[in-house]
Amino acid sequence: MIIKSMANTKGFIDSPLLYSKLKLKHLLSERALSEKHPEAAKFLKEKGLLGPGKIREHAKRLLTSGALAGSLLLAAPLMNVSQVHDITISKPQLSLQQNLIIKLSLLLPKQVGQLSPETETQISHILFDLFGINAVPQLGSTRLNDVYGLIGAEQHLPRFPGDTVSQHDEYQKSGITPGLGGWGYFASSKNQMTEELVQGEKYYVAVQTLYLPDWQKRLKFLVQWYKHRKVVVVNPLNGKSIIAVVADAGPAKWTGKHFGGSPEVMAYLELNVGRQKGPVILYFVDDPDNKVSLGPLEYNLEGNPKTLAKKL
Amino acid sequence: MKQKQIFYDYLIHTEEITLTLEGDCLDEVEKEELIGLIDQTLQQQTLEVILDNLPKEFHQEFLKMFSENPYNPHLLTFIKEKVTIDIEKVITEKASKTKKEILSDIKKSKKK
Repeated sequence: MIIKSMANTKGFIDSPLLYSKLKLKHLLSERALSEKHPEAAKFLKEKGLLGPGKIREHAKRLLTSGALAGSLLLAAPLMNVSQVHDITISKPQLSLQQNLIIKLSLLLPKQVGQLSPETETQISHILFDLFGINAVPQLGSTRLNDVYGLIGAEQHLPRFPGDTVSQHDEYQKSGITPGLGGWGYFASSKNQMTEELVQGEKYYVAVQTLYLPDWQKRLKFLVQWYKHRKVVVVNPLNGKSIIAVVADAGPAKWTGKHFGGSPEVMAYLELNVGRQKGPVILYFVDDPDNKVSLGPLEYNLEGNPKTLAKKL
Repeated sequence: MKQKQIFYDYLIHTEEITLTLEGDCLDEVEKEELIGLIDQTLQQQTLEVILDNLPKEFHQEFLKMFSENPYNPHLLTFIKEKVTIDIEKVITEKASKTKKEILSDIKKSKKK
């Protein structure tokens, strides 16, 4: 994916930003073609002519193979083209991520910041429609100061006394924090680590609980409430979404960032390159029955998990 | 994008965009991906313009010919015989508008 390789500071262009803009323009043109001429779009898709560079690749291939020369020589009179394939009408489908990019691009302001209540609600609806999850900016009386902000890269967290970075299975180069996460160890010893706790450290976020207006006032309640609270993090530029838990507090305001992401979270969102930060939406996931698994969100919980994504 | 491989390529001049990107220190892979996106966007929009104006009963025939030979110079004749507007002008105008937007996007993406 180019957004990963392009997220460098080389040259004079903010290449990830430009890529996102061009990708959006491309997706919108594909959607316009699909909506206005669904049968044509279906035909082009079947012929492999939709997608970046596809038409030109096809033309090049024909030219290279000589098929084009043959077809030019043998071209039948234009008005007598026969045996045209039957074309059934059906709307070509965009992927979950493409859908999300387009829908969010129509809602989000250019810069991170406060969203209107209407926009926040619309985002909840989009996440439910696409993924079947109940994701909300406010759960009960509790909400974060920011739900559309910048996320920055964090290190691994020590999961139990004696944990070292070499015991984490991925992204060891990210290092491990010298101190504990905001909610301490995940388990009191290595033996007590469960798969759920391993996943919790792997897919964790840091949120700015310390700046909540009611943090001191409701400290006891909020500390418990936020501990391993399930959230969804969405990168609106590439549509990648991931389920994580709150396991640390931060980052500090002066950093200009609003959230922190574990090495795994940042890698999946493709924000672990360049300045290792980027805009995200972070919502609470209302999941009392613990049905939503931690990790990449590439399926619709209400449909057929892991397969519906391909249909949407 | 300099190679003319599609019958309407001569109506969509993208050299200005290519040159703009070439002057911006992008590596070849980055540049190719960006150009691929721009190119396909213009292709899709041009096809949309054609299909918007070509009577529906000719869509299948056009698409079949196009997929078999995108450079077929007769394709434009085929379209022109069936539309009442100056299709070359409409394609050029649409492409110009999109190119302006893309150049503006490139400009806005430049680091200050």
